[in-house]
Amino acid sequence: MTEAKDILVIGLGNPDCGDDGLGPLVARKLGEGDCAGARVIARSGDALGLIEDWADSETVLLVDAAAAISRPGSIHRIDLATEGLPRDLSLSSTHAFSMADAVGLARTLDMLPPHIIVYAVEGISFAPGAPMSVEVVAAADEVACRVMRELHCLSEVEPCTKPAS
Amino acid sequence: MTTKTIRVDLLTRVEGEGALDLHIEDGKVSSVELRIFEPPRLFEGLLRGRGFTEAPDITARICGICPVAYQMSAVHAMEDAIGLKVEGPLRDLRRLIYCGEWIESHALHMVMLHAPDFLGYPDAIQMARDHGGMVKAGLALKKAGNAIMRLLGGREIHPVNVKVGGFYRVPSKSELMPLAEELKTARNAAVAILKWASAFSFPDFTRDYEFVALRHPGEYPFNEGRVVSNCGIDVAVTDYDIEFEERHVAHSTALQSVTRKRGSYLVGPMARYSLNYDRLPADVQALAKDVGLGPVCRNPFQSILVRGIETVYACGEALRLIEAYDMPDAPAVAAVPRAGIGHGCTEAPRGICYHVYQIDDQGTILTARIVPPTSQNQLSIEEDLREVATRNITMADDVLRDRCEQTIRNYDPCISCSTHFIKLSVHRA
Repeated sequence: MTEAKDILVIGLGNPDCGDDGLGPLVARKLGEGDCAGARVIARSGDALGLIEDWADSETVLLVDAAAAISRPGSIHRIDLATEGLPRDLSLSSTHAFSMADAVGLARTLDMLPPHIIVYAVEGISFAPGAPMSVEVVAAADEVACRVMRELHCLSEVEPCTKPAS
Repeated sequence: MTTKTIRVDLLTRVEGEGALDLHIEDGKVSSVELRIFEPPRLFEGLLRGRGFTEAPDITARICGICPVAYQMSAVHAMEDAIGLKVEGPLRDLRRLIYCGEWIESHALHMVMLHAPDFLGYPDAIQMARDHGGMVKAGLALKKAGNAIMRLLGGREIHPVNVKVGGFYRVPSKSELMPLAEELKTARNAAVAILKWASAFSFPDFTRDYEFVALRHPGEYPFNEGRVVSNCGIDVAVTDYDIEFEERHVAHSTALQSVTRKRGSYLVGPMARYSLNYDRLPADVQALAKDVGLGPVCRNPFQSILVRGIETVYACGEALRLIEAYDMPDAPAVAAVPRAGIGHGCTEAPRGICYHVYQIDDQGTILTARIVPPTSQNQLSIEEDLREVATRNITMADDVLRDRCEQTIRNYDPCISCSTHFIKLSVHRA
């Protein structure tokens, strides 16, 4: 069982770029700060900072938006301990380095946390100033619930009953 | 006639969205256009009607890499407008947060964006397989810069703690001291990266640039100084418009800035260094000599070394400022509005960032104009590209394409705050 203090949830993305706001929205639903014994943060900008963020974490749950390859709002759960990031799943980035770049670099440098789970949601609009799509907003609720269930299993603390709206 | 087009649809490792079109006819470069098609972002219009105290928070949003530059130019301009001078520990804290920005920005560019060009890797991830130690050193250096930004700015990206007159909150000495240990390690990392980079093979290329930078009587410049050049410009910031003008070109949504008398000029690390070498501490000058730099650097491919020198300097300057720090009685000096025009110019990592505002007696912003460093360098980038392509016209297209991309990256251009891509096309007829 992983120590609760070592669990980090990161919602990655730019809230001002349509569906790229998924990660921060999920972080907000979980309640930035602490949730079910895990630390929850939102990050936008240079994804290289992720390596710094997760330096002391045993387990990381990372939530990010991806360009649509099948159906907008589709949720992908990827355990990086057992599988790589799918090549056909273009993880969106409005930054110099994407989350995939940060993961790739950390893996090369042996700076990847032992357990890292990626929740990627397919989006359709990433334009500056665009609203989030209905599909991705709906998916954000589902992702928040799934993340809370994982946190409960990981930390053996009482789960949050319902994500904040 | 045969026509050949080489297209690179995705050039990473630059900030912003643009393209380069290079046309070659009969073996000669006929035109070079650095096309910036990032949509206009309208910040100057957004500022009109807002309070003068809102400018640092609004302008910080212009850039995620160099928000401090925009904040500092904004607060200095507003303080100029209302006749306020910030001195002592508050002034030192402004230099300190600027050190943080230079460290994180230069570290990112040197190791993650620029070094792969010299070592033949497509990106830093591939480079990390063979140069993991240096990449880790770069990340540690960037982390140290971020730590300064976070402590003084509230967060490392788009800081929220800077205000006209000072800061919303200032740290105690005991809060600052832990940074000192991290900065000592960071300085060693910066020296190691600099020495590593000094072994790179640099193309034999120099141009006779007009360098433009701030120059202060006693400091390597961050926030204050006169605007000077190696071609005779020496004016107060308030007289910036006497020497410079912006013009629109059809292929760019960013205005191009030129000197009124001569045309293109260069801002950024090479200009700062070459105009302020004598303001560097002796140990940093000695380090520059060790890595093969003279008092003036005109080879843009060696800008990576100049960034390294500036990073070492910024680490040392940050340490000096922390050790000398005494917490001020108040986090800011009261800023009382009055009608006026204010000018501010500070040294972003990529070069001078000039702001001018007109405010009314209630402090409402009536007009705003911002001249970022990359718009000042645009024409110089195009001239470098023309020269590089001309001198290497016999190169294979893919090699020439790579060399041109590297030429752009020499400038660490910040085409916008959101990075997408630059599309490079070489047309041969």
